[in-house]
Amino acid sequence: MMSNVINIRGVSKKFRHGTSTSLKGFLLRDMWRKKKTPTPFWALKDINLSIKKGCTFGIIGQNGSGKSTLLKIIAGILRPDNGEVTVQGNISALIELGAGFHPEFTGRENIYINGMLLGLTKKGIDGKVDEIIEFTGLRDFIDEPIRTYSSGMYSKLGFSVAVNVNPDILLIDEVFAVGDEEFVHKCKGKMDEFKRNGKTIVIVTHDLTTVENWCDEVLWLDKGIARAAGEAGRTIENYRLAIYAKESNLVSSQGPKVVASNTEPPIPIEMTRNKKRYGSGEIMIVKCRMLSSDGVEKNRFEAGEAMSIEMFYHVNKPVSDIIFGISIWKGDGSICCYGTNTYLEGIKIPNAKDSGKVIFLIEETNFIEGVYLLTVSVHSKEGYTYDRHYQYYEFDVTSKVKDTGIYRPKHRWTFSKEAVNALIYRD
Amino acid sequence: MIKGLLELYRYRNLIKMLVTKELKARYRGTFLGFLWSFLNPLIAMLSYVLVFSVYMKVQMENYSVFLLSGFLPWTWFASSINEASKSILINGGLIKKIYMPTEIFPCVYVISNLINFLFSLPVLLLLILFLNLKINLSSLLFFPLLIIVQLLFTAGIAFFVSSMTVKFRDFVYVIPNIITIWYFLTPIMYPSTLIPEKFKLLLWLNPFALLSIAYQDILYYNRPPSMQNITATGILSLIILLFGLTIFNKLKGSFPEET
Repeated sequence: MMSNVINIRGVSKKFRHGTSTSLKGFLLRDMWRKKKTPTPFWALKDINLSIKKGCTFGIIGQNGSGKSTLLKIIAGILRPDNGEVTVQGNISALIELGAGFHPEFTGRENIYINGMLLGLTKKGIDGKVDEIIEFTGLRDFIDEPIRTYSSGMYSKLGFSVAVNVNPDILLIDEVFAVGDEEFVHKCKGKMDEFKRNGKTIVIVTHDLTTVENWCDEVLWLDKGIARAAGEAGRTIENYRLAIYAKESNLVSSQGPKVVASNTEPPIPIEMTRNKKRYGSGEIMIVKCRMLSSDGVEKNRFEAGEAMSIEMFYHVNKPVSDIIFGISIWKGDGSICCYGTNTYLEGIKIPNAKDSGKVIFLIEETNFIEGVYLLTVSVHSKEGYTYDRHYQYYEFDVTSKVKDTGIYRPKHRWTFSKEAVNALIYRD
Repeated sequence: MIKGLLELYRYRNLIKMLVTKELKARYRGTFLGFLWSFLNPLIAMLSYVLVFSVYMKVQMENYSVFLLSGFLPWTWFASSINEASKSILINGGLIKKIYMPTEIFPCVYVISNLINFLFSLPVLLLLILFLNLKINLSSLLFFPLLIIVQLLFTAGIAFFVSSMTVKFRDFVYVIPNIITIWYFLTPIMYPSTLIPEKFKLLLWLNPFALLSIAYQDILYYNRPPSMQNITATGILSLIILLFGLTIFNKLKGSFPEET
């Protein structure tokens, strides 16, 4: 029997603009006036929601839709103006990693402080501290003050404490993108473990792929109002459709009429794009640009036009094992249209010292019309990343032909009566 | 309000941790480290002795002991209030992101300064020994009582100012000024007997004056303090604590939005 661990009944939250008063303002104005009149802004209006035990629940919506506000109300950080929230079980909220870290203290001391902030007892942490340190992968640095840590190490420490608090309910607000691939993998493993153990997880995110992969149920918020809630796949689909519709309305109401096309409506990049840069930095790609055949830097290409991708690299620490790679993605980041690297193609890298330039020449951009994302990276054979600009650059392909798909093989149509006749007679 | 206090108890480990952090952070990275707890009052005392006993030739035996017996508790009070007044604003980042009883923050500063006060007491005791002065052991029994009264009093004002600075940012600048004026109006660097009769009202309106006189009675005059005064101050401190907590409770709901 599944029971509801989180119950939200008629919750509304309003924010007042400029509530923090200056003494002067108070003495001169507010004290004499009967009512204050800053217009309230309703961040959430009459939200009803039940989340079952063991459910992984996603909250989606555009910026300013009230997602994070709702999460903070569930966490008990904010109080609703109307309605009530009941929560059964203890909560660990990942609103921000490493909130409350103190730079002068060592990693170990900060684990204690952070653990207690998240509601653990000292004894509880004593029993877990080794596990947490193991999870961070920072054992060698754990007794150094964390002001010496890189920002990646900082996030790792924060995430490790939060997931090892072992709560009944885990609230997550856009904190997936931490650390290198190995660590992200570890985190996802931890999340799987949570799910297996029947813990309840509430995720707030822009990243629809995460929601699709993880969530059983989804709430879709739009300007503080619950637009839809229920089974994940269907709700996300409805959400996507609504966003497309809004985007195409926006386009058709602006400027010159867009020629009706049978291609898919443009996918809102900012909604799903997962742009990030990471790596250990032995070699850095300091600049990357796209050029046309006549050497002009641009990011709009006619289909079939030549395109050269130039990567300027700088070697900070000489390494022997270097592979350059690129991949090109659909604009929503969901599908990789093409990816390759120098190792796969058996290309030896000539003298990679100091700095230099790598050119990847695409003789014909055989893509259909649309927006594309470019990933460039330099890494080792084992996949150890020196520097990766993941879905970092954007380019458009324009085309007179409105065909569909992800790739346009070089082709032509020919007609020949003869061939048809031959087929007919053969049968 | 009761709920808030019970939660404070539940979070006592965190308070302990934050107090330790506060004390450690204070002198971390400095060469002399914890010695500063002794050096700070010593240096202040030496400058007062120079100005009052040497330059102005104030005729008061063992002025250094007199001064320190009021100055050390005052430092506890003044630092607590100055630090607590900003405590909610400074920890805004935390309050927005993690659920916890916000009462913790002013408490941490009051307690860490109390501990600092206790650590600075050996300076005074050594001075008393060094000058070969006597302390009446039976009047020393009042000392813990005074600390409790001052703790209630300081906490009450700390709750009040920490929540008010969130609502009115001007308080961040108003409070240090009030503290300075208050210091001069309190008989710490001069004995209360110097205050002219027509200004005596200012003395009775000042709750810290009675505390400071009581400390001086014990540590300098070597006599038991007036029980009547301690009781009055104690009751007043309780009222101030309740008042501070009430204001804090009224305002704390808006902390995550306004810090």
